[in-house]
Amino acid sequence: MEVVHLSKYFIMRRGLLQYLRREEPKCIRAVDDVSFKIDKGEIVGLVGESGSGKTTLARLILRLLEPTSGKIFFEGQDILSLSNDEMKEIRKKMQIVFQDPYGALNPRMTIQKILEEPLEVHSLYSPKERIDIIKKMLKSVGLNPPELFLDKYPHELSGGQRQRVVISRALILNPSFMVMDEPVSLLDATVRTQILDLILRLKEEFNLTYLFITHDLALARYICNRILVMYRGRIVEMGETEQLISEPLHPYTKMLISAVPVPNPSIKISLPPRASEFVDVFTYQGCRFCARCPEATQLCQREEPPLISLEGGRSVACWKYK
Amino acid sequence: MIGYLIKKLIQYFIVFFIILVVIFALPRLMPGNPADYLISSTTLTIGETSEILRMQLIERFGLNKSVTEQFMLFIANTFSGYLGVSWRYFPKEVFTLIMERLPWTMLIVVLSRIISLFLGYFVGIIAAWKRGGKMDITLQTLGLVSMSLPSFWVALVLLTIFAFYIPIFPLGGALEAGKIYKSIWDFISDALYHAALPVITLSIVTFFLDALIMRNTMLEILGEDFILTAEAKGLKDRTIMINHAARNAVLPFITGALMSFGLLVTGAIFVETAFSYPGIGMLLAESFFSRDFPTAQGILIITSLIFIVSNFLADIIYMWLDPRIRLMGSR
Amino acid sequence: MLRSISSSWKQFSKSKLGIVGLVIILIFVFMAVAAPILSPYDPQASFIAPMFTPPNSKHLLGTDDVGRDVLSQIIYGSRISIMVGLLAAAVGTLLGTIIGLVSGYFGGIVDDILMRITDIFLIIPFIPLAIMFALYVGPNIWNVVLIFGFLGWPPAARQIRSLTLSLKEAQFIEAARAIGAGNLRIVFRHILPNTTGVIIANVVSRTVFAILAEAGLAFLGASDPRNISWGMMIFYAMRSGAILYGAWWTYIPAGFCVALLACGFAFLGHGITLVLNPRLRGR
Repeated sequence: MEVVHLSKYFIMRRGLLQYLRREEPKCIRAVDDVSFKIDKGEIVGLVGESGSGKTTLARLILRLLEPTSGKIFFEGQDILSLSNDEMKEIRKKMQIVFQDPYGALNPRMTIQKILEEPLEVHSLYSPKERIDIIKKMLKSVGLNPPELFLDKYPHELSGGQRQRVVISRALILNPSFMVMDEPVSLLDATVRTQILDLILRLKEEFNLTYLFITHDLALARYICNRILVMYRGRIVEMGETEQLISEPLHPYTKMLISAVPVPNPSIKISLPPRASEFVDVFTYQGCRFCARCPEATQLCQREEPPLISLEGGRSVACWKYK
Repeated sequence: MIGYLIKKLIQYFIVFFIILVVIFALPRLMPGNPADYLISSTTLTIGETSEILRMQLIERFGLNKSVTEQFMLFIANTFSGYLGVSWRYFPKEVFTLIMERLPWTMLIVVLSRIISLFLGYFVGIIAAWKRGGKMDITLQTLGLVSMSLPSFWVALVLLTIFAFYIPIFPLGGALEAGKIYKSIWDFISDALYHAALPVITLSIVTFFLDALIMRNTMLEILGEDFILTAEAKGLKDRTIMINHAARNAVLPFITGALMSFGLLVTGAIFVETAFSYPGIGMLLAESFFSRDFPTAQGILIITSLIFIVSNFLADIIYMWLDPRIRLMGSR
Repeated sequence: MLRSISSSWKQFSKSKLGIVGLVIILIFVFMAVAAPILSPYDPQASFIAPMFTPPNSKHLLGTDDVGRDVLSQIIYGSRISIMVGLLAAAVGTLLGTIIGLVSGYFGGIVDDILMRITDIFLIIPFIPLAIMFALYVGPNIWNVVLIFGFLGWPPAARQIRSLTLSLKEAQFIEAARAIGAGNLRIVFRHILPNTTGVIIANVVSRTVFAILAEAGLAFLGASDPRNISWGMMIFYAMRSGAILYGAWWTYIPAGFCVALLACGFAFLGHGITLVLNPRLRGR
């Protein structure tokens, strides 16, 4: 999976008054000139706060949204140039697991129907074979015995069970690439570890590549081998997990790390100054982070720093590292 | 503020225009030539048909011109107040006919609205304040019931009881036939005497719904934060109810009242027919019996206009009474 | 599916009004179905007794202006009211559902245009338009069904559209797209099944209005004289001056039945909304 200069701008509708005043329509640059690569077998983490654009990015990669500009390559193919039918074929290979396990399942469909649907859409296997595959899949995600779950409705399952169903639905088409959009943030802490272990196990079993999206840096550290840090639509830092966490380069990354709770009451957490300052979402002058950056300079306020590659696979977008 | 009104005015104008288009298009989409309907109804009165007559009628009513021409004519006529000639009351103009009857309808509708809304206002407030209480639940049930009552049946029930068995009220009509009035008060009292039962009927049918709407509006307002503040301030229940909640409820209540006014004008057809009361509702029924197309169409146009105008009035009053919009300008 | 029906029933049965409504409707349905057995006389048979005979042991509800048994007419009249009422409501709701789904799902210009049209039809007064319609189509009991098809869809369209709008944003819809499902499938397999509650509630509430409309139009003489309906009975009663004769039995019971049947559906609708709301609120 490779993403090159991908951007998605959302244009706000103008009111009559602004139209008459000939004001430019305001736009939100949800994703702005993002480029990165994901190699086969990796688990890449995408970390950012709400509003950073990570969910939008996930939708773009799967072409559930059309980008404003840029290219997306999957297994070497430019998926933006594909027709609807060709795209449908590709969809079998890349899937997504959502954040809300209840919202992601149609409350009027039984588990069996939910899992049958992907197979039906792509006309795979005969009805009899489908049931076998569904049962096998349920077992793989830990819903054993599968017969127990086939006729149940989503509201009859627990949160963890639902999420397993969501995962199995994504897997049933045998994808090679999966995007996980905050798959555990709505689950209880105990269930969380179970699902995370399941995710890791499935990776080995089915030879998958993951893009793991989360706002929780600690979680990313647990699972991912590489991390991308996103802020207001741009990638501000990239690197191998351990390196990034032990030696963060970008001020934002440092802020994130310092905000992670540590199970030791005597260690006080102090956020750096200006950490929670209010940002105007519509202005894009200079570095996006400068309003909250404790180390901002005049240059930062004037110009936007590009993403520069450093040695060891690290990249950073900050004027501190020229 | 004026800008807001003008914008609304233009919107309503467009709506009215489109309604006219629909009204115009409707009969022409139906199978058959309007002239044939004309023939069949004139044969009732004249008793002879011929091709010449048919051609003459077509000529007379301009049905041989092109559709666009007819449409232009239609629009031009409508806006200058000419709604055609009634076939039943030939050659009386539809417009005159409607204007003659309209005041009677207005009389009973306005009276019944006043009564119904006035009572409904208070009942609604009480029901909302004692939410879940006996009055509230009874109101909700009766509201459902009154929604399912056919108005003409209620009219007939009242008529049977109070005009036939216990002859308090007259059996029908707006005024006593052939009576000579000694003074204007005589006239007014006779008119009111005849209007009483229709007004009562309409009031019964609409009262519960009005009260229910008032109740719901009150509940919405009571749920808002400023009521909580008033309670926290320690104000007495009654004070809160009257000064804060009821005041705010007046606004949506009035606008709702105005809009329902338009509905009632058309709904009155059943009551008027039951009482043989000569308003436009009765006229509509008559025009149906006698297949008087122009009149029916004219009534459709006028009632649409009434409805639009009452909506517009509601907008104006809403704006005038709601300080928020007044101060905010033309947003 | 059976499980969801039984759980809905349990909730519905908590509503006293709903149960009452259901009972009323069932009684009338029974009356309509068993009419040939229940009815003591042929409703069309005239002058089997003198006209305007008051209720007595032979004719429980007396006779009308042409000597027909009123009770038999009432029993047979239930057929028209129920059939026309339900059918008209169903047609209106069906049309409204289609428009609402299309408008809500596809949005954009389509939505704007359809909603404008809906607004226009909501402003045009129903009754005068229905009368004009009846004028052109002629006296026919199916008038109401047609009129409803033509005019009765806006409420359903509005409701379905707003529900569709909120459903459209749900994650399972997005999930369906991610799997590769096309729009048609999404609308019919995902959105529509989740709107059944609203559809049913709409059909029931429109039935109330349809029953009243049918009775009203019949009362004005817009219905087919060959089929006896309750409204028609009242029409004849008025025309023949029954009031002057004091022959209340020719019109009071008929109107009472209209009111009762409509009430039944209104109560049923109330009970149904009770079932719908907790389900929409809670998960």
